[in-house]
Amino acid sequence: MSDDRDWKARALAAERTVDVLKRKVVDLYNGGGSNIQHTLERARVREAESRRRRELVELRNAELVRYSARLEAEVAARTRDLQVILDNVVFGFLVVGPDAKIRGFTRSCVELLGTDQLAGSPLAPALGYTATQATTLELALEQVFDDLLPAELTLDQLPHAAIGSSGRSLRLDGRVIRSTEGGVDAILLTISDVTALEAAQRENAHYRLIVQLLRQRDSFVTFVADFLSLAAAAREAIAASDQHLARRAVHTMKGNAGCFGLTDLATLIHGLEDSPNLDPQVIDRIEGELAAFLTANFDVLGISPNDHPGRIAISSRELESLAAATSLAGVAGWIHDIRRRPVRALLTPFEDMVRRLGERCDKRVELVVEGGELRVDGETLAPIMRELGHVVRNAIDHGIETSEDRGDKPIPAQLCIRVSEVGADYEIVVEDDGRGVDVAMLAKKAIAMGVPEADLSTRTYDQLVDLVFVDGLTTSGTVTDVSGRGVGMSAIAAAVRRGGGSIRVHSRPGRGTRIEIRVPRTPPGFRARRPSQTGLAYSG
Amino acid sequence: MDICEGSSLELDGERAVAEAVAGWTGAPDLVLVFSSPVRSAEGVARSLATRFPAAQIVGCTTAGEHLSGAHSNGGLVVTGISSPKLRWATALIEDLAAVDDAGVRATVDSLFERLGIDRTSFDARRYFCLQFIDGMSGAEERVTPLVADALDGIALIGGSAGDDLAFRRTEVIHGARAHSGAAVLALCESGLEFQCLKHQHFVTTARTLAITKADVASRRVYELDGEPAAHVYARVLGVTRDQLVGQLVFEHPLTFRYQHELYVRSIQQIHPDDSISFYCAIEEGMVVEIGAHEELVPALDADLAKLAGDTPVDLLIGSNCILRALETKARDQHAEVGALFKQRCRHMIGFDTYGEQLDGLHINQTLVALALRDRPEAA
Repeated sequence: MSDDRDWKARALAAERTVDVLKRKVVDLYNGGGSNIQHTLERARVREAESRRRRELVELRNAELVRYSARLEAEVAARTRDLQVILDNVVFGFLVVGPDAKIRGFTRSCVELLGTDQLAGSPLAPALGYTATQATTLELALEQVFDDLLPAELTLDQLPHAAIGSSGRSLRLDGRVIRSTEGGVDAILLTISDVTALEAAQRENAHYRLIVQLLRQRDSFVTFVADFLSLAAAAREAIAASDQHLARRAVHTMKGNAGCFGLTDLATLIHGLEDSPNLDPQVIDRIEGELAAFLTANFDVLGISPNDHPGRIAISSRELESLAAATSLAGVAGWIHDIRRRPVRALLTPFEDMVRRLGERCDKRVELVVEGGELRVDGETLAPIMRELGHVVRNAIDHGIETSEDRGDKPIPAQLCIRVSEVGADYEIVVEDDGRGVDVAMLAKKAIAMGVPEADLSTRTYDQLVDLVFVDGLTTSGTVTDVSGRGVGMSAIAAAVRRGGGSIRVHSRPGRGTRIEIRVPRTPPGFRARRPSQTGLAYSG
Repeated sequence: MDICEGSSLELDGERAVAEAVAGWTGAPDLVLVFSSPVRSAEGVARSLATRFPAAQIVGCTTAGEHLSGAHSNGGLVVTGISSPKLRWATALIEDLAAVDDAGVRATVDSLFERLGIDRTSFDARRYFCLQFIDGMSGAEERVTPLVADALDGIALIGGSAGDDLAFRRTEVIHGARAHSGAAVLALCESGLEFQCLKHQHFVTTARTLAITKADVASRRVYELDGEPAAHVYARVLGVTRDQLVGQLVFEHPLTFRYQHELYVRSIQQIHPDDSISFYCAIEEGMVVEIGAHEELVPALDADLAKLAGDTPVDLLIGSNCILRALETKARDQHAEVGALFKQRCRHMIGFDTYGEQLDGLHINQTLVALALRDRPEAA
């Protein structure tokens, strides 16, 4: 019986178990009922999500690591390159302490300065400076370390150039290294080898000059002819003991060389024209310099100092016209026609000259040339045109103001060269809108040169203005290689005189200056000599 | 990482703390404290907060304490951690019975904010979160997944507070206060290398049972396979009902499988009415297996060796199931277990729990632990 009961109980238990499990299965099939399953499923999903995130982060980190490794490799490569440059190429770095001694340096400094005795050495001898240069350097360093003025100002006072013992051209640039307290602890000097750069700049400037000359080859040919004839005139004047005339010719040569950008030649003349006595050797040297330039560039310019650059080429049509001439007057007319050339060919390249002078004098000037295409008698006007540079230089150097000083007047300042035919004359006008002629200064200089004060006191303003034509008189306080010797205006006046013309200066204080030149169109050999003009105008 | 540690068997909270922290130098960033309920948890918290006003303090009551190789019952263990490579933020989840998803998320959000964590772009592998939760609340299975969800993939590890097997009142410590019905979280941004350990010494057997009658809320099973639970359990173990005591029960928890993973359901109590209470959730229709026992010490040795490798970890923070502690005590293996911890860890602090939590799951009969290493390359 008990076995039966036991079996019966176990059967009932089994039945209950089956019922419970059935219910559970039904619940599970119907998507619910089990909190535990739900909790575990959430945990499983959470874990899967976390794993996914971790994988994402790992991917991102791996990418970052790769990126960072690449960057590091790039930086390392650049650092290596930089180190190679720093150590071996054209730059060197020096650190200089307040005692003007070298605290530290890169290896390349040894090569640049040509000495390996740099550590702890004074800077000046390392840079190959003379005693005077060393003093200047030390004073400038002192000023930087004093730190009383802005660093950019004091650093600018440091010398910027040196010649290494290896003969290199070196450029020095300073930078201030400050301590944590803010004081100047040291100066970092960057030394760059600019030998090649300077050579390249010189070469570049030379090519620019050649291109310019080619563009204005006709004018340049005229310049060369004039230059040589001026040299001849100077020699004659020296032979005749007329130093004044010789000096004037040399001065014109200098001005015209400058106009064409032959700065080496202009600089040479500038250095020589102040010699107490000009002698034929000086003229030879000047002429030789131009000859050397022409020879060196003959392949490109095709101009030889041994040719006759002033000769005139005649076309077959012009030759036919000559053959057709039946009288002396006809031949004269033919010659006159043949000599006619455009004004532009006679004018020196003023555009470039005005730009360069403007930059040097820190003035903004706009040049206007009118009548450049007008065909004029070259024989008549060329001697005047080649002196015109003096007028232009004076206008920029003395007449036109800097932008700050121009007040309400337009900027850039206007400078106009106008060539025209007026009746039987050529008229050349050079006009600027500058400050006008400083007659007070002229008068002062004139008195200093011995002109009686009483004589000046009776003169009108316009009469005082005409003092500009007095040889050696200038309004300039200093002589520069632009102007200031008081030679230029007398030179053009002389040329105008020789051409049988007149020159007048009209000045309006604060408004500008107008130089008016009149020259007869008919060459002196083909006309009756005109009577001399009177008055204060200079005339031939 | 600087670590200070100490322990005491003093019954008074203030005196116990004084003894435990005697000789500490410096100011820890975080203080971990586990204390038997023999002394006031509130007193312990207050005393620590007074002594370390700048520190964040977390911990709970226990059913046993571990400190660097030593095990105690009725003791207090405390560890102070300071490291520029660890940043901590702690928070309390109050009223576990009422807290919902939004409440838990708000608490976790406050931790994220304090550590400057941007949910859209943070790297969860740099963070871990310790959780200590009231072991008598029965809320672990509901709250732990909410915390894990809110942590967005951050490792969550911890344990349920104990009360020396009295099963009356367990408390968590946060700052200067002790709280019942609450959980405390300590979120850490770690510049140090860390790992989570899950160690069990059970395997499953082929003997299966179905839970046919249970009260899910109290985790109490009345019937297995349609018969009174204790009788069936005794029968499958091959013993009489009267022999279901102590070690036999510890060594044979029930287990079940989900997605091929084994989960342990440890027995808390066998009641006179032949019902069985568990430390973890159960439900009707659940098919459970009888767990088989592995030797505790060799199994722990193997897992700790795997964790530590050639060099000991610098700090291990452990939650050890009370049943494992009882088994260790019954076999008198505390010294051996302590020696293993000492061998594999420079410092260790932990407690015997009423349940362990790992990544959103509340589990049993397990040692879960967080291992921190202060290797130079982890900086």
